[in-house]
Amino acid sequence: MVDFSNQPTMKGFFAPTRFEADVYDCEMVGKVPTDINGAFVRLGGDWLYPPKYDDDSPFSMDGFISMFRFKNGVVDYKGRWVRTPRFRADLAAHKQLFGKYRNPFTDDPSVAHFDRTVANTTPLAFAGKLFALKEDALPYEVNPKTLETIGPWDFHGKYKSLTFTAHPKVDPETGEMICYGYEATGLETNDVFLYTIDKTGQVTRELRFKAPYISMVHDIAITPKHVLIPVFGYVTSMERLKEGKVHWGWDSNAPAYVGVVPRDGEAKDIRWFKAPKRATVHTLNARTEGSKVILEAPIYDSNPFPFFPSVDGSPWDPQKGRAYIRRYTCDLNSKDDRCEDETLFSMSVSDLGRIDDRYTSLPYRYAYTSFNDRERPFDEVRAGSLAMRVNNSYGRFDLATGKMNRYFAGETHSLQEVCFVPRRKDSPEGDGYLIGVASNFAEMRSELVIADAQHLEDGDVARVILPFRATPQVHGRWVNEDELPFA
Amino acid sequence: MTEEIAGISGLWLTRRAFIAGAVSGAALAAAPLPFLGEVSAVAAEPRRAVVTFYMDRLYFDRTGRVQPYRPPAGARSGAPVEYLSEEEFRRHFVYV
Repeated sequence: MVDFSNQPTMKGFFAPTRFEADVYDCEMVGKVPTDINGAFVRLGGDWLYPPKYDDDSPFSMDGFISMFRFKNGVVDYKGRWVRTPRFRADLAAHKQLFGKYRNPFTDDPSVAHFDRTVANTTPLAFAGKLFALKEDALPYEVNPKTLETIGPWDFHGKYKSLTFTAHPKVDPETGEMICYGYEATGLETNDVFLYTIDKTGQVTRELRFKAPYISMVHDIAITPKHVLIPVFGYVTSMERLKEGKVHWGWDSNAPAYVGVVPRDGEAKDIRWFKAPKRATVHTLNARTEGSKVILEAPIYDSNPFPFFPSVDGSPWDPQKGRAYIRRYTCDLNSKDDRCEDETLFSMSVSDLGRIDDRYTSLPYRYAYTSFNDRERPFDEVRAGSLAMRVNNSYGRFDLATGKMNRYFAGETHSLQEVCFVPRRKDSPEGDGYLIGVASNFAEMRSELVIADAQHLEDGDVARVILPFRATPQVHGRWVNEDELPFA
Repeated sequence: MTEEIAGISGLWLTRRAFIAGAVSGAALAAAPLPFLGEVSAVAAEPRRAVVTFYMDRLYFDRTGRVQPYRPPAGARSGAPVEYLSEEEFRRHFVYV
């Protein structure tokens, strides 16, 4: 029997949705631009069954992929579970069989040795295929027409890591994908396998090396010459897993690094630059200027996730769980192996920052992310007292001038990750739209907002209304019409 | 975003403005008695006109017989989790 009644946080707007959906010709307010055709593909998670342990991480939620399909000003919505072996096993057993986040010792014995992934983090369109990614397993291929799950993909048997990042980077000039897996040879190993895969999907290069210690390597950044690999604060061990804990604990004494790997280099060429003891979960972009390799990212002061508790038992500090847009500069000519550190904007932001993806690895000007604008109203009667917990605005952060332009979603709304959509393939940087899903707490529904990225203060140009709450998103990607064989 | 607008007896009310007014006072909205015309004149007790919603649109009831709109108590909002500490909230909801 499915019973969420003893899950006190899964109520109201936050109750699990648990359904698949098709909405044709969605209701909309305003006029959806006809100059963008393709799909906004979202990946996130929801609980098919309640978690086996109350202190599990929300990152264990079952993967759910959805798509707003844009075609000539009309938008259709489709959402489907990612039917991993784990999902199918739970469904057959009518209960949650899997235990804590990335800890197989907490699973039901009937699913020993199962692929535990829930494939719930990032959608990827590459080489004509659509994938659902999570960093604990191979990519799961999904049919872009139907969103039905096809299965794991190992790039014709040439991708040997057991895991695949949720944040591969595609070089816009070569079309190559730089990707990697950590804990690449199994649970609690510090092996990292770094790959180059050409635009046809063929593995062309593999580099194997060791991380300084076993830690979360959630995201990377690339330049035309280098790959930058942040390693920070989260630690794990087999003992920890056997004690029944979640995979990661936070060690405030663990060093933080930015690994700089030449794209054509060998393992011996890697330099691990020491960084402040913070958490770089996601990156914005990087570039190489002479001897300097520069990383820009929304970086947390300390542990952002209380469900990955401190190993010393100290309480989680919400003040330090905030992210700021920062720049780390690694000088390959320096001898002390320390990053220079700058904070570029004094306001805290969501760490789900994005850029115009056409500028990945290249000099760029704008970063986009969401934040809580406390100057704007929040209707607590209709939406609940969540004013301090919502991201009610998207910002365009101008890294050249330090200025910020803002879009406000509404006084009962919170915005999920933003995505930049260029107006045309050859549009200059920043000429396009910001899109993202807003949670409307008052109306109990989700709304896809579309705003002109150069006129954010004008509000949205259109809003696509779903008559229900869309499954929560972790990451979303815009996929152009010609990138995938859409229906 | 242009707010939803409904015309009421020559007046234009935005839903957001209406709700803002509604939550600040006990009565949601009431027209002055002369505005009620013959309806209130025939009523056994004086009734006040009520502005409410019907099918998600503003609806003006001159009879005073409908129940005024009350903001929902939690079910249609984030209210069920508003009591959580910042840590507890973030334990369950990473990206709201």
